[in-house]
Amino acid sequence: MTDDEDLIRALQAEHGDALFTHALRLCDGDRQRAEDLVQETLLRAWRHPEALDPERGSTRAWLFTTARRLAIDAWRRREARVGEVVTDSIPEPRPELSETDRAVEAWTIAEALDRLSPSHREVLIECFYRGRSVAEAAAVLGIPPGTVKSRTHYAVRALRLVLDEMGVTR
Amino acid sequence: MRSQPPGPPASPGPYAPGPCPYELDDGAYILGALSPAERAEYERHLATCPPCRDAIAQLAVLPGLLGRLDPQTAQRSVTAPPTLLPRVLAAVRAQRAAARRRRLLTTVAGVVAAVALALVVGIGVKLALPAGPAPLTYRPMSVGDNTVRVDAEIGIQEQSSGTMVSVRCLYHDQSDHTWQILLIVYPREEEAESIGSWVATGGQPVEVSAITRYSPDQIDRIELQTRNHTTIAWWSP
Ligand SMILES: [Zn+2]
Repeated sequence: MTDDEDLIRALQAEHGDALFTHALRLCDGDRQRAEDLVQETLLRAWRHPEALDPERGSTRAWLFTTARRLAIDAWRRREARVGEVVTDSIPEPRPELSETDRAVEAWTIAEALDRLSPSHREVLIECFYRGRSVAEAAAVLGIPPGTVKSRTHYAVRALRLVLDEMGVTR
Repeated sequence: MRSQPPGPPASPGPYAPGPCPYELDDGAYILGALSPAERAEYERHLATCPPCRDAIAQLAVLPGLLGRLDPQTAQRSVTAPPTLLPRVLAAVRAQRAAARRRRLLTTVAGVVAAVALALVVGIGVKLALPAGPAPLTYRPMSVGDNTVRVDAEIGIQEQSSGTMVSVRCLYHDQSDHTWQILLIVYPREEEAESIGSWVATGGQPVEVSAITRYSPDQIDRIELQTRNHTTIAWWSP
């Protein structure tokens, strides 16, 4: 085993599940493309280990951002190929452009969620995306309602900070 | 850890500093998770509590942003498939082998130039080559044409992407005569390729390594030839 492989193993052990989940979101649930995306992201990390210097920010944030950039590149390449299709009809304005922008927005929010701690992400998923009340979320998560409230209080602040860092808000 | 900034001095009244009893409700409120009764109560409180109103103003942008991700995608959480790590490691090894091959080819080109230069100026050379993955065993090559008397040995090492061929030879001719030697690989199915060349002179040992893209079992024969393609030594697996 080499240092290179140790780096990949360590990244996979610590961030593998989160990165694959993130990649799956970026690939609209396509597991094959998600695996390709994780592989390309980890290879980038291997080729540029200096990017993972803790002083330059969180490793997970770097991995997620890199995966998102690669996914956006791939999306734009696919879109360009679609755009190259020759037709006899007069070209129409391409509605996919705004679709891409919407996808990128969604990916950005997904990335922000993935950067949160699991307990913060969990209460946001339960209370916002699953539409559960504080009492319902408390029952599902097996914690007191007061804890659900305090977690959402801190989770929305953490989310706000991450979105600021990512340049979405501020 | 962030420490709380010191607050203003305590004063009585409805805006008394210190923990507001509703302080922790803002997250649940903007996410829409308070029960209707709690929500009404919280909104009545907001009307009287500027710090809570400020907090809500800071967070108001979030529901709209969260809403750009569809719930189904947001809830997707999985574990990475067990095949993923081996796959990435294989890709790393392949890329590392490619990088090493590029470095080695550069080295071999330099080595060949150095041998040529050393032989031209009449200095004996012993070449240190980059260490391979396994110890190299040399086997004697058969002598081809006896116009050039050469003792040659060959070592074969399988690489992830081909074969490293190492040759060391000594020409017994004691004259100052020099020859240009070619190292030729004959694959079973395809055209022969020259993977190295150097200048040899009598009494001077030469050690050279080069890489071919063919794997050992694809190689039919390897030869040392003169420039006019006379075989002076050969080896077959
Ligand atoms: Zn308050």
